[in-house]
Amino acid sequence: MVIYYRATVRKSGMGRLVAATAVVILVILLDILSGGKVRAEIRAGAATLSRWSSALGSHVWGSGIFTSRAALESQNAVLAAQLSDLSESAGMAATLQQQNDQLRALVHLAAASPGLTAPVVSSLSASPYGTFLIGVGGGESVSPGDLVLTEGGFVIGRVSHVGAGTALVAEIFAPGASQDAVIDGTSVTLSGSGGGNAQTEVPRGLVLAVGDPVVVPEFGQRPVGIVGAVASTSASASQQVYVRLPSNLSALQFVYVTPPNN
Amino acid sequence: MSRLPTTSIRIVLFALGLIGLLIGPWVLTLIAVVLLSLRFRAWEALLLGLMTDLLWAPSGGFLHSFPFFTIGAIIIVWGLEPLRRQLLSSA
Repeated sequence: MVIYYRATVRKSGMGRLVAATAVVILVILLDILSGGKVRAEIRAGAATLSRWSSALGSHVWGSGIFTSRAALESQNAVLAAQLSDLSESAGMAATLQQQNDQLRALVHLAAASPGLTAPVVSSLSASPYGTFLIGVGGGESVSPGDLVLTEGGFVIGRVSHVGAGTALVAEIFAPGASQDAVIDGTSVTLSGSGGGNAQTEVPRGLVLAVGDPVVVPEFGQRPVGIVGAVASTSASASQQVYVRLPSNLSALQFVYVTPPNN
Repeated sequence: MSRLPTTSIRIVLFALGLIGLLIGPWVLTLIAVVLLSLRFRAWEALLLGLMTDLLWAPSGGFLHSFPFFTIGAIIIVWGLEPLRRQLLSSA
């Protein structure tokens, strides 16, 4: 009976499952104890794989198999990019106008932020934690805590972990993340929803308009988004404010990495 | 005879999970882990959970770097064992 049971257990893969569970726990512990060295190696490999799959995808896509669909999607992407650019420009203009009013009182000239442009080397929808990989790392003097900006100057994340040739960026508006910010002079706490979106509640009396810039004092008054929508009901004492990034986060190909103090 | 389809299903589900892991969306990986765990004593499900955390979990405080996916995969794989045992014994 015992022999039969042992044979059945061995055959049905229970032993392998126990071993796999032990190995998985061991790897996690090793990674924690080594300060993330295991994950740095995995990420370097994943970045390479991602580049290859992206190149392969472009090759297949451009081979003519999906010609009519590709043409439509290409046109759609161009139009979406144009719309996104215009939206970002408008958001940036509003931000600059507000900042200009504040800076007018000061005579300091803002020095250009030193930093570097980095390619986004992973999909932005692959991570359940609201993170993505960029193609610069410790070799390029990137360090944890550095700010990651869009071309328009909106902060989208902070460098969370640095490897040799890659760095992991944690989105400001990652699902479940919270960030203190200022909308039209009012301090709020934004709750991230992922994909460059966040929401918060403000008193109903506060007049906010769609397109108002949202800045973060912690990031040197840099913008993190614009007001995308305001929803309120007469029964509620507060109104729901939806904040979004003017640009399409999933269409980002390059970002700008700069130290937080600049 | 039934060995080949079973192996094929496992490979296809694991590949699906890998696609979700590398290209996205991440829900694909979660679906693959659940489907694998429902029918098989799948060590691949644990591997997918581990890879998700090693690739995407941010560093920082305990809560930030907590391996939710690995722990989740372990809970799913072992939590579904009674159901699987019923399925496997009745098959």
